[in-house]
Amino acid sequence: MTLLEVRDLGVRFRGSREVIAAEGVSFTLDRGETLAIVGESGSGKSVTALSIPQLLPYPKAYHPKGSIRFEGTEMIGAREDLLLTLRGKRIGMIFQEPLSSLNPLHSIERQIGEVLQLHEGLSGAALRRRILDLLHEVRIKEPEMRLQSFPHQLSGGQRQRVMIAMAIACKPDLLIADEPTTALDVTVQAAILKLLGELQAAMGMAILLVSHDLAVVRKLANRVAVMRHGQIVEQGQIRDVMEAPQHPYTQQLMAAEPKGPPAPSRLDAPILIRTEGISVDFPIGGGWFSKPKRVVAAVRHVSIDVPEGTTLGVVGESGSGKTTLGLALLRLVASKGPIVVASERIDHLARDEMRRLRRKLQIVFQDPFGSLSPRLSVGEIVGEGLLIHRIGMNEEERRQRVTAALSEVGLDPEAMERYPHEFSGGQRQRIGIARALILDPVFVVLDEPTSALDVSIQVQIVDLLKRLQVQRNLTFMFISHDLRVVRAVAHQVVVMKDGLVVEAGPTERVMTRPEHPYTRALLRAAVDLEPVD
Amino acid sequence: MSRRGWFRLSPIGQRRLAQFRANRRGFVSFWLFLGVFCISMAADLIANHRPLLVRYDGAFYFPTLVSYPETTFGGFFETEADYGDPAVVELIEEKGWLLRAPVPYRYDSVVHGVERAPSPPSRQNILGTDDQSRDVFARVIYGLRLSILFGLLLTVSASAIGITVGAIQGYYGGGIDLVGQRLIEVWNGLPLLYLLIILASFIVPGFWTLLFIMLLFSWMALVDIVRAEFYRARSLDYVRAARALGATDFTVMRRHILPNAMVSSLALMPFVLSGALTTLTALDFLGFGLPPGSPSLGELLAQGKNNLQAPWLGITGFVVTGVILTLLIFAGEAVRDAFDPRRASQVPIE
Repeated sequence: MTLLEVRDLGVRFRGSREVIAAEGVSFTLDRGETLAIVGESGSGKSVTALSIPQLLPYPKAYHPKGSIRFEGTEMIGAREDLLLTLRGKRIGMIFQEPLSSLNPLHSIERQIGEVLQLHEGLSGAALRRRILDLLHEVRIKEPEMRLQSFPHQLSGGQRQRVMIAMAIACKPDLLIADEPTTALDVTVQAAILKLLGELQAAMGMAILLVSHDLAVVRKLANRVAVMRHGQIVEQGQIRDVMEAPQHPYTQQLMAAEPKGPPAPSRLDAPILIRTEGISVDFPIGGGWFSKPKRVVAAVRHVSIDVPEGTTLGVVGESGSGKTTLGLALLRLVASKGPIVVASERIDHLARDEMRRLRRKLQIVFQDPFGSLSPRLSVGEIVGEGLLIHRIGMNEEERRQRVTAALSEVGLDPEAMERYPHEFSGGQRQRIGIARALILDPVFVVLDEPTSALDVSIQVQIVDLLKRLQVQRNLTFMFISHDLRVVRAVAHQVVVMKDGLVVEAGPTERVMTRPEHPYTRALLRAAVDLEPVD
Repeated sequence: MSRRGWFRLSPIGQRRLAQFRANRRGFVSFWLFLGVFCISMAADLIANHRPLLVRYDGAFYFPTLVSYPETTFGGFFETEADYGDPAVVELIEEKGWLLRAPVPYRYDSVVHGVERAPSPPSRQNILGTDDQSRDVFARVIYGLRLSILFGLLLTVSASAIGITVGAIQGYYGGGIDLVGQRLIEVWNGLPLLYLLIILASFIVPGFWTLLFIMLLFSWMALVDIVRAEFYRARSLDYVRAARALGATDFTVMRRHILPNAMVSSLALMPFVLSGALTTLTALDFLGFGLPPGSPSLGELLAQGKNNLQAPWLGITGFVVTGVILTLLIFAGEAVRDAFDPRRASQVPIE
């Protein structure tokens, strides 16, 4: 008997406008097998996964038709006490963001213990022994030391391991993993994927993997189902689908990985941006009258040279200081050491003089939802720089410039009167780019501009940036953790770790012949999804 | 972009208006409040012991605007004509006519011919008279005008000060914030009521002195919430983006953070306004408010308490105060919701 059988499932949300989240979804899953549901945001993949343990916000959500059979038991409309015994015990779940999925006020021992007390009735020494076994199983180092830790004291990878420990505590038959590695660094992602593979082999459970990342899917899944607009458009063995996609959307998705060479530029152009050993320190703790307890060196003696019209890729994992370096170049955080822009030192300029230069130095942020003021219309957001720098004689001329900037990034100028929350992530990122470009800058820091976007949108944004670079001879600093994207845009690359530059050079050389062991580990994790110890 | 004439609302403004209208309860309350406000603003035309217009001997006279001596109409006295005196009315009607206000009493005119004050509602005095034989209806609409103007002035000035102080504390943080917060805590500890009672013993507070004294103690209402908003918003990406564009601190605060802080401020403002009305009413009730003789809701309530045999005083005071506060809160809620774009659309679920 198949473990899980979903037949003709539909999910809808009631509201002023009824939303059809999924329709006609059918798939089966056997023990020991991994099925991946792939799709972009809004494709209905998470909703489908969440309807299996009936965790949707009922009765706002409802199933107009279809059935979900877990070991032959119908889940839709099942009694709540039956569902309670299945959830956690027979069906385990891992979510994307481990920090918000763990209770911040409970220690690790208590978080994991709760599941075991509830479903297996363990207590006392037996419970503790089982928790230690689990932490050992998910490869947490020194589990005894970690029992009393709280979620915020763990790293992202460790938190995800704790989540996995909770999910597998009762040896479930089915593990639902909803974007399990999306919030993690590449090297950690590789390690978590390896762990999931090993656990599956050891326990023989079925995994339903929900992901937008084809590389992750390829690594872990046996079979794959591609979803779009709430429907499965293609389903099959992983190799068949990946190598010979039948449906046009799947083909488009497979082709959507950012690739191609960076925009044609000359690395022997005059240097536009140069730093000579700049450092950024953040003091931690201490009061007004006492010295800080500790100083965190976020950026340590970093020297870079960026020729005009080229892109410098800055690669590193979270906490490596790459964003801080970008902010320091624009003097948005205090730094020490010379920063030279077009042979003018800007690190000693007073605030007012710096304000004049800001027009030439712009930034685009990672989070397209946090970087646009929610209470200003798009026209006001994009046009703000014009007002600040008194560009444009009158309202009408400024309006025309905003129109031009919006068209240049591929947005309908009608967007001007609307608010940011009415736009999708990719559109919002375009608005952020328009805001930076309207001032006609020479240098733009791009802080993870594609990380929060779907792959097909990533490609569009990358193409847009490359086109703009050629048209306007722009100089970019492209900060990213995603080596594939960096490879597609950057002429030179610096690899950062703990605030230091461990390797720098032309992109192709660094990507193909890395010299530093850390770069090699990073590449292996990002390209092959293999962890390096 | 913005501001294209006052009457041609931008699409954003139009949507806010539509949003406001969609809230039926708030919208109706707003119009009712506006109606009450307008009526009370026109108190001089509605309740006045002087006629609105006099036609006498081929000429027009405007007694509400200009003071005419009795001799103008052929009387004996050099003093202002008393239009309540039947003799004067007779003089005028001999050679013309006079148009009276709907309620021929002002808040301070004494109603003649009442057997015993306070007198119950009658055709002549629809809400009766108070213990000094003055028309209650006239006193209510003059009292409303005074209370609403006082409340609005106090709210606007208290909010302006509170938002400025909160913005500076939240945005700059650190030492400024710490010192500011401690000062506010100390200041908050001073008891307003006792201070007013002490002050009332050596100065007679008028409208403006009372406003100033109450302002000294009510500007803190918005500080905490504005400070928290600024503190949170100053490290957000869009604030950073504005700084990268070269915006000055003032621009960042005004354009980027203040609109966010305004929603929570607006949410509080109806409460500040109704609080101001309540405080003024309470002070008048205790006799430490506006000078004696001023029309006020608090004084009416005090009369109601002192004259339990005349329930129309207490009931009128209670109903008027209650209704006006309720209208204010409903309308305030609707305004707050209209300014919040995130309330406007239903958040879609993936």
